[in-house]
Parts: sequence; C-alpha cells; structure tokens
Amino acid sequence: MKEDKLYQQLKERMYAVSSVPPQDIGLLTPFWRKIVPHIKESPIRFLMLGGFLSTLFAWVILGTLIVRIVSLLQYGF
Amino acid sequence: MYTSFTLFLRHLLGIIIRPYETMRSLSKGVNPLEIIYINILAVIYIGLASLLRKGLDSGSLLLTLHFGKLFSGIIFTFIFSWGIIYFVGKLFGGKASPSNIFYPWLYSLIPTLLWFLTASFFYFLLPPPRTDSLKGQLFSLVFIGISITCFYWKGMLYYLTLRFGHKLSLGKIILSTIIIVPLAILYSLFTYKLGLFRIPFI
Repeated sequence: MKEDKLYQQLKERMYAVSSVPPQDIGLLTPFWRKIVPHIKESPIRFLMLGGFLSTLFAWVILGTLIVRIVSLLQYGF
Repeated sequence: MYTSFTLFLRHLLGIIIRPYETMRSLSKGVNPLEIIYINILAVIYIGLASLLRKGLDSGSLLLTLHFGKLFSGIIFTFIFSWGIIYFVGKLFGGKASPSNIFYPWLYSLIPTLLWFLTASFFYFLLPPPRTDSLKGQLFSLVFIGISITCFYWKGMLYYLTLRFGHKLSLGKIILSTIIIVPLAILYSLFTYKLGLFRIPFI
C-alpha cells in the first residue's frame, strides 16, 4: 500500500512537471535555463535585488522627478 | 472551512516561496472557499482605505458609499483583467478554461493588496506631497523600491498565469502582453475618469 501511494505521488509529480513543454527561446535558451532555477525557489531575493537596482537606475535617470512621482503614487491607493 | 483556510495559507506562502509550483497547482483549480479569504483581505484593505481617505469624522453613509465604490471597482477590474487575459491568450492558441486562469490570477491579487496596504500605511505615516529635501528623496526611494518589487512580483505571477493557465511559450506570452497592456491602459483611463482608481494596479 505504501509503495502504491509513492507510485501515485511520483506519477502525479511526473504529470505536473510535464504539463507544459520546456521553454525554447532560440539562442537565449541556455541563458534562460541558468536564470530560471534561481527564480523558482524563493524569488523574493531576486525581486528585491531587481527592485533595488531599478530604483537606483530610476534615481540616476529621473533625479528629483522621483519625488513628484511618489507624491502621485501616494494618492493612488 | 478549516481545510480551505489551511489551503489558502499554503497557497499564500507558496506564491512567495515557491511561486512556480504554486501557480502550476492553482491553474488546476482550488477549493472555491479560498475565494472568500482573498475577498476578506480585499475588504480589510478597502475598509482601511475608506477610513484613511474620508476620515473617522465622515458620516457612515459617505464611508459606505466610498467602500462600495472601491469594492465594485476592484471586482470589475479583476473581472476585466481576467477576461482579457483569457481571451487574448486564446487568440494565441491558449488551451485554458476560464477557471485555469481565474484561480492563479486571483492569487496574483496578493502583491496588489500588499502594495495598496503599503501605500495606505505610508499615506497615514507621511501624507503627500513630498519635498525635494534629503528626507523626502530617501522616503521616495524606499517607496519606489517597494512599489517596483511588488510590480515585479505581480509581473512574475502574470507570466506564470499565462504559462500554466494557457500553456503558452515565452514568445506568445510577450505577444499577448503587447495586446493586453494597451487594453489595460485604456481601461485605467476609463476608471480614472470615473474617479475609481488613480493607479490601476489590479
């Protein structure tokens, strides 16, 4: 009975993993496959890093215009 | 009820820690009672936002009207976004049924609600407008950082909704996005004119 349950779980896992075909984006596929495993588990680290870098970039490009944008966003809720 | 609440908490944690697997599981369907818990979160936010916007001194009628306006705005915006994701995905060969899109997209409301709650908190803490002083700029950077992080999280869940809901490739997801974004901008202008939302982040 225990083996049957394990077999069922493995079968479900196999169907789940193969529910969509792997991404194929031509020449960028190897690069994509290097990035994605880091995003599948605890992507919050990369989201926060991306947010931080984007903020810095926005500050460099926009300067004090960011303050006006934030004033607008603060009314947005 | 207890089982559905446990599932809701598991999915909630899952979209933070393991969004890929969680969205794959959500696209197959959930316990319908989980919709209630997301609605409860939305109602809590709307209640707080109405109080902050209108103030405790406002009459109950005004608060109720504002609450109703926000709540119906969120519902209609969600239905609209669900609809365009479903139909545009179908145009590009998507294989989803409406429920395959509904449940993952429903959980993508979590970063939206988080952003709205954060914006409400900062509105309460430091009401706008901001100044160009050092403190104003630092606060602005923190706020923008949080906003961009929530936006990226939402974007990731949007990608996973199309990936596991419609089973689209990256190329088709990008093409779908090229059609969906202008429609979303038009809708947001419409809701802005109605005074429903200033920032269309649903």
